[in-house]
Amino acid sequence: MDENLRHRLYKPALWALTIVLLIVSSTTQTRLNHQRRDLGLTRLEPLENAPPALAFTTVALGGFRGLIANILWVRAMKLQEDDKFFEMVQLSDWITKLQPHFNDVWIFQAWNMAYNVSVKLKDFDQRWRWVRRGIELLRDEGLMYNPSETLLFRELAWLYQHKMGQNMDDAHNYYKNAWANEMSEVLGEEAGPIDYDDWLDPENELAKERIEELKEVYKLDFSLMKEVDEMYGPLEWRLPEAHAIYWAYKGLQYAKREDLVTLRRVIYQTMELAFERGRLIWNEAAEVYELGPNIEMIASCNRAFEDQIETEEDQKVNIKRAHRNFLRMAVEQLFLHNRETAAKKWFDFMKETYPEAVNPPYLTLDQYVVERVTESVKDSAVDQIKSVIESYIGRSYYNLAIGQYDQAEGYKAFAMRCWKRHQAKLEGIDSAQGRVGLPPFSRIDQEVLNRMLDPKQTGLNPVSLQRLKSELGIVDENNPEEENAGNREQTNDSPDVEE
Amino acid sequence: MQSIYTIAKLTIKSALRLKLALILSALLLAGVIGLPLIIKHDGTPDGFMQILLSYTMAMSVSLLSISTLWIACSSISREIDGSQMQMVVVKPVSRWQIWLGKLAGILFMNGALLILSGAVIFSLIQYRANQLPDQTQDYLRNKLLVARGSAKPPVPDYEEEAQKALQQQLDQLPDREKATMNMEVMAAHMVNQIKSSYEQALPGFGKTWVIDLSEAQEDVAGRPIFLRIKFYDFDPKTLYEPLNISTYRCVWRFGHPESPKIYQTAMMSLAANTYHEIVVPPDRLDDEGKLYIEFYSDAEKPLYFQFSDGIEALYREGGFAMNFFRGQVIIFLWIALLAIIGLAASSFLSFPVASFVAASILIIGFSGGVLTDVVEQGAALGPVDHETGMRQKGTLDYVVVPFFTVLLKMVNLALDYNPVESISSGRSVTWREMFKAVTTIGIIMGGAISTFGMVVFSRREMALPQNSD
Repeated sequence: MDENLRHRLYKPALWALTIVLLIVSSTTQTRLNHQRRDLGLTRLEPLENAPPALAFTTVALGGFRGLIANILWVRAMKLQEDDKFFEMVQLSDWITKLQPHFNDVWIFQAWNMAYNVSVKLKDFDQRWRWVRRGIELLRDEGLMYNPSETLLFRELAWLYQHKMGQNMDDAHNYYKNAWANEMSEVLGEEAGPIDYDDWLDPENELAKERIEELKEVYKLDFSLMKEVDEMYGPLEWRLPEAHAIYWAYKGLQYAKREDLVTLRRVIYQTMELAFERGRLIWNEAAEVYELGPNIEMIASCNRAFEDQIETEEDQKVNIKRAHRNFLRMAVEQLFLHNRETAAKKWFDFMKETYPEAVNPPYLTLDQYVVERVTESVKDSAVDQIKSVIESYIGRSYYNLAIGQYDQAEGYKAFAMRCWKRHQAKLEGIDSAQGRVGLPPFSRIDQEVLNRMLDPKQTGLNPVSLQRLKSELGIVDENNPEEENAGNREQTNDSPDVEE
Repeated sequence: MQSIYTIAKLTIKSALRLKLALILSALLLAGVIGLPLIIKHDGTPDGFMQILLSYTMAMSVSLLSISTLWIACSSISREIDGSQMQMVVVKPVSRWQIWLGKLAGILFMNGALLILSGAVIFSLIQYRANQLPDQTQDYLRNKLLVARGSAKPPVPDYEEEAQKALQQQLDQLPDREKATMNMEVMAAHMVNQIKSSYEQALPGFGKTWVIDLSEAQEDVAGRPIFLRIKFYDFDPKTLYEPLNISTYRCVWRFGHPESPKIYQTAMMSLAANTYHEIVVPPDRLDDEGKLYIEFYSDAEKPLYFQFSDGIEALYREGGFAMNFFRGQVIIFLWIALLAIIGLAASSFLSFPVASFVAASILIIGFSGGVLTDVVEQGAALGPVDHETGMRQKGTLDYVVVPFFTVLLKMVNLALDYNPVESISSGRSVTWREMFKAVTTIGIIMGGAISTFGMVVFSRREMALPQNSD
């Protein structure tokens, strides 16, 4: 061959050979990775789902990865000590990417951002940003590289359950509202459980888009959500508790025997929380979400307790005690929500399961609930019992102002029962009526209402106040045009009871 | 002068021939433009600007430092190894002129590269800032893209007060009791007690500070002031879990108590042991240019605002452009010092050894934190006491610690002026600081090392057999 031609072809030939070798090596890489794992040739799992830059870095740096991660870690801690957080996201990203299979690194970095960094900031929106960062680090990246690590599932569920769900942080309401708003954009404005049949209708294009967004952005598998809801629901997916249960439940699929209890516990504890305040109430006037008990969850929550009693032999006594308290609360909440039939059913179930829960045992449902609420009030403390009654009347008007009619009625009726119970004790004792008797119920009711309508004393914001007036059909002297006989059917706000 | 100029020109030509300047420019530009595309930030505009400024500036400093050391270390030693220097020294030019010419060439090239990278960083920051909404821009230009001066409340003479209080107590004691007392401990205790009484905000009581901003009255007119605060709660649990921090609900009021223009913040939830910046709306100074600050909290224990970092008012003192320029001047001084160190090392050492020595100095410079820890703890090599978490003194520490103390002092001479930190947090790099850096880094340190380098180079025997392979 001509020398010149050979010289000209030499470099292109080398390039071609390089490309061929790269293609060949890439095809054998998967098989080699399997063999590495099967033959136990390496302690580390080959990195999956990694972007090219990360894959290159982890291979190229070899043993120096740990050293560099340490240096970055020291820098991150130093900056944190100096309250400089702007680099934290970048440093956490590098540290976790250098040691992507080291669970503790993911857990620490996520916890640090969600708990330690967030609390150092004064603005709630900034705190929320860091809580989200912590969640995203575990959910979007940690679990992507370690899809079967139960510890990461547990930690993620904990961030939802504790950091967002509990009230340890002054900003917890902000977190809950921000999360509810964000989820409402995906799930729709209407709060409440998901209508799975409607969402899975093949003609529902909007639902398809939403399911895709849930998967892409929030890493939620819709079929698994349905499964979780069927098992533990109905859950409010706009609240963190539903997500805590979802991630703990997902972790159960990969859990070894020793991890099962921890993950199940996360589910059970979260379910109790989801019952206590797992219902979203949109306060239109204040433009914030408020929380109320999710009484629809009582059956599934009860089932969860029963399962837990069965599976956790060594904690049986404690769990039973928690179960009993849960049932007490369930009865009380059903009663206050004007669901007397359901309350009676659970009351009977509670008496049967835990006879000591109703003491004395002859108490009727009605007496039991009033007793529970006023148990701390001494019989003769008329002022205290009046305060209790006033507080329930107040709650009734507040719920009326935010459109929670069942609860409004429940609270008013309950206040009346408390009043009646107290007065009944004094029946036939004329001397006591004047001394420790209560004023007529209607007067107490009017006093509370007057306070709530008085702009100087009311705890309501002006819009809620207006709405309350409107619900009660009260003419606003300053704005007579807005007279309204009420936005709803007239309800028996002041029960017709002989006083 | 002509000789120095000629040598400098030859040094630059040699660097250009090696395409070094081209490669460095490309790297700097790629870094400065590419970094913003890949860095992750905290999601806030100021967080983004801060990370952008610190990373791009740090990257240009690192690249220029490493390349400067490499060029400086190689320029004399390699020319001696290659027997080129021998051809130069026989010319009618003195050795100190050769040395200075080399330095001038390196500095000129690095200066040009620094101007290039500085101009790109500055333009990039301005461009990015201009993309933001007007309100955010205003906020950034008041907080970050600005030169902010600092003022603190006056510190009372608590030591003198403590001395008087101690004397009063001692006067009431009989002599024999006084003789048994450790006066040093008593005095220290009293100082702490009086100091704490000034620093603490007691539960249920407000606390007031007054900061005199009369000299900055014109600068702050119509502009917000940023109050940087930090309080400690000395919660015992943080001794064992330093990250476990409590928050307290607080309210701040700004303005003269009798002024109608008093401003009160909404209730804030502030973490202890943490810096917070609170915006004081414009025009809250009284007629004498004083800022009155009141603090109230619902804490059930005393909170401590220490004199050192408790309360600081940050106000606009100048624009970002001049601040950035002064910062670049200090960075240039750092690089010049490195060039001088590299040249001095290559004046009497071979290229590999000179590089090693210079790189070690660079690493020591970056290890200021370790040096500080060792000097503060007074130990580096002893075993750690697990009760206190402190290191105990080992035998070798009697040598190591004094050595580290000297090293730290030298490092701090250069690194006390940290323009990257100041610029990325919107603090002023003042003219005074800049001239001080010129004196300390440029004249004193640079002068001393240059003199050493020139003397050593002048006395070096060139006619020795060289390793010219």
